[in-house]
Amino acid sequence: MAEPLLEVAGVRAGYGDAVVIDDIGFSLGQGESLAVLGRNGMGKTTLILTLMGATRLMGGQMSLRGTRFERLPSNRRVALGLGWAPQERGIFASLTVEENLLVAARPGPWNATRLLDMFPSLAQRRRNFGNQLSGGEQQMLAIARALMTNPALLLLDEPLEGLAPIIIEELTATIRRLADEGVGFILVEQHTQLALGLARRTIILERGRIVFEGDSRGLIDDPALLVRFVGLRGERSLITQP
Amino acid sequence: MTTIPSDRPIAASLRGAFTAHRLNWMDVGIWVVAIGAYFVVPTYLSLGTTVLIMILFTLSLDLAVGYGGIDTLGQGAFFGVGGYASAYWALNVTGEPISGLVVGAVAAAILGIITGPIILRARGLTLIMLTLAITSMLEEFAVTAKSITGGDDGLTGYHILPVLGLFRFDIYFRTAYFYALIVLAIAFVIARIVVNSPFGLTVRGIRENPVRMRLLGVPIRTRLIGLYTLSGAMAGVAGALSAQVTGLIGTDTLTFLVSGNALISLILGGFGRLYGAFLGAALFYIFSDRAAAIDPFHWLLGLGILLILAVRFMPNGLIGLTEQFQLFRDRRGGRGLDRSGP
Amino acid sequence: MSDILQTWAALTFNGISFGMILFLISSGLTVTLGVMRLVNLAHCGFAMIGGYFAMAAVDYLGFGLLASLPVAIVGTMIVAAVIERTLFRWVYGVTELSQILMTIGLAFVMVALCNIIFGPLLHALPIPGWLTGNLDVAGVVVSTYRCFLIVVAGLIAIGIWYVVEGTDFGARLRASVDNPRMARCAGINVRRIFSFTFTVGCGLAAVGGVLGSQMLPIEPFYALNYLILVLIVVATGGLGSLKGSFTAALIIGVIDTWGRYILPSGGGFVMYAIVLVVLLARPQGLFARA
Repeated sequence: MAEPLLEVAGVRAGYGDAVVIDDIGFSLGQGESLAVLGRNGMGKTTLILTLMGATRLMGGQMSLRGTRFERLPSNRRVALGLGWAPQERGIFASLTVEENLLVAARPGPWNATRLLDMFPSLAQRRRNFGNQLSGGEQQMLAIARALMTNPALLLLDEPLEGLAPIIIEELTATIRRLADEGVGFILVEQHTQLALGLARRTIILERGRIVFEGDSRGLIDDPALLVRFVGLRGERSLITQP
Repeated sequence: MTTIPSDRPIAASLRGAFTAHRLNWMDVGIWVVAIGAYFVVPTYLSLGTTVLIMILFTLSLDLAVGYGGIDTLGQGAFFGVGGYASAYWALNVTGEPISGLVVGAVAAAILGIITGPIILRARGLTLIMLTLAITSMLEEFAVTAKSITGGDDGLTGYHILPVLGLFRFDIYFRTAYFYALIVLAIAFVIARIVVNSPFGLTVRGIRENPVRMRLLGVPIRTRLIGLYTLSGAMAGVAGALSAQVTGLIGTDTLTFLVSGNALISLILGGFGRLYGAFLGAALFYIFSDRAAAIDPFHWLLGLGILLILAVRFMPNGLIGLTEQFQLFRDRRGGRGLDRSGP
Repeated sequence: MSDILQTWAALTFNGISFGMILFLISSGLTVTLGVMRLVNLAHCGFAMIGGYFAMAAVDYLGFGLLASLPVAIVGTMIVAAVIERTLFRWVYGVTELSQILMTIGLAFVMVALCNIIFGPLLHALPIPGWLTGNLDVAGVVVSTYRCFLIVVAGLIAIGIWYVVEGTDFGARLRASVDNPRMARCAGINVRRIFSFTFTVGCGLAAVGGVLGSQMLPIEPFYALNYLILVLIVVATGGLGSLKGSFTAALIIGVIDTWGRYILPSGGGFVMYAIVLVVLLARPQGLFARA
């Protein structure tokens, strides 16, 4: 196998004195996708935050394309190739849509023109300020902004949360295109079926530890684990097949 | 330990208050030093009295900042109000000192009750600004309202009668020293009781984890206002004491420098430990008296450098250092630290 | 124009020019508080240092007021950069109260050093000949120098506005103020933006100190005397909002000037009372950031 894109080993992290995730280890190849599942509070977002450098790291190593980054500050990790669309979206309220994109710009194939083409509703609101956008638009902007950094690996934290079904369809299609373009991503999502449909591999977190790691296909075919760890009883799926 | 009969509740709570905060060499040591100073350095009793009054003032600030987490630069307002009230009392009603203290406390408490509910809605920098604004307002008022406050000259010319009719105030500050000492002791006991009472514990809980306290149904604002008022009343007593023993009260008591000095004392001595006020204020005011007499600007320079270093290296003050030292000694002596206690 | 109207117009004019100086001095602190949430009570000290640099240039190099301005700016910015790289490293992780105490300590050091070096006397920098005297502006007689102040400060304010709202750097600065963590995670070097902004902010304070020496004379206690005023401007304007501190500075400048005229010995009272009301109504300031 070619050199892995992301390698994580023995990571232990949390906030203050509290350990939230422990003994986290996995790897991701170039252009691969990974879904992170688990109930609320099990450490999914903490894992993403730890990759970005926003938590207290108490042990372990992380590297991107062979370069160790657990000691790097967040902005250097972005330069290294990590992009992040946070759960709370984090749109800069005092900046316009255009400015939100421009401040994150880094050299590479993704640029403002291309992204505004990809998200026409954002293009329409390009001069609106960040706090004048709807939830769905903010979500799109968050993803677009993360892409502006031309990442090798994109971290998506609940990008579909609280959105109308039609927007979900649009965004899901966008995420699928990422895979086609060779951008690797890690996806944290409560919409379990969607996540499984989008990412080739999945890990499940329970109480801060990985309790399952494998192909998403396996979980779709045998949902017993899902029921056990994610509580899928009675959830309707919006998309059936990848 | 003997059990306390239940028909003597005050004694029980006193006992409880003292044993709840471990009794150690500090408790005895401080009062020995204070009383001893009277005999050892009789020519410095004027400075000593000032130190005692400032300890009381710093103690009041510790209640607000150290225990209540109320960031205030306006404690001087209470000091000044208490001082002016008791001076006014002495000038126009009677020179009896104890009633003067009560008047000072009440006046300051009134200020606390009025301003507390208003400003305690804010936190952090805004709160600090509000306390500053109030103090500055009072200062400007004191300077302007000459007929009441004597303006820039302040109030003076009142005569304080002997304490309890027996102890006259003399020019050597002998009576003044013990007067201040006893008031300080009483205030300290009150502070101890409050801090270890259920009220005090909820206040500490509020400082450490306000969200949790709110979820537990604790009326946060009311508690904080209560603490703020109590701390203000104590500062008012300090101000009244100052007015009584020096025979003068002026607008310089209302500057934020007064509050700032007390804050610096706490940073030296340590917040939230009550004793920090004693250690820090004693060090600060003795030093500033001696050093300022030599060269005020070199003193200011030294103080500035001290502050910078203190924040950097001693965030818990000297008391914090001594506690760390105790910890270190315990460990080396083989006595493990048992954290599984109640 | 009637006498009363003339007086009020002149007062307002003076108030505005005073407010402009306040804005220049406070602008740096607003951004510092906004970006790094750093309570820097030594900020006024930088205005003072600027004033002293200018004074040194005037006394020892024979410069005029305007020539001494660049000396003051560069000198102050160097001092600011050094302090930021050393002392302020210690100040970032601690509580607000500790920041206050540490920076007050720094202010004390500044006061003491200035007194030791320059002595305790008050100084006002000399106004060049062509700026002395009075002008007639729309029927109101006002001091030429104050006109000059308003124009210069106004131009600087416009310049600041343009940089902040219209440049890439400004966008990154605003992003850092809005959400420092997200800014870092979007690749912005918030640390470097702060260092740069802090230094420039101190330079602006120096300009305020130099140009405003007629109203705020230069003396060792400058760093502490006007601190409350600056803090009030920043707090009522809204932390991190330049628009807010501009508005607050003007309002406070005008109110303070009127107040002192109406009640010469208690004018400050009015201002503090109004500040109190504002802060109570809107604890985050007039134009707080989202």
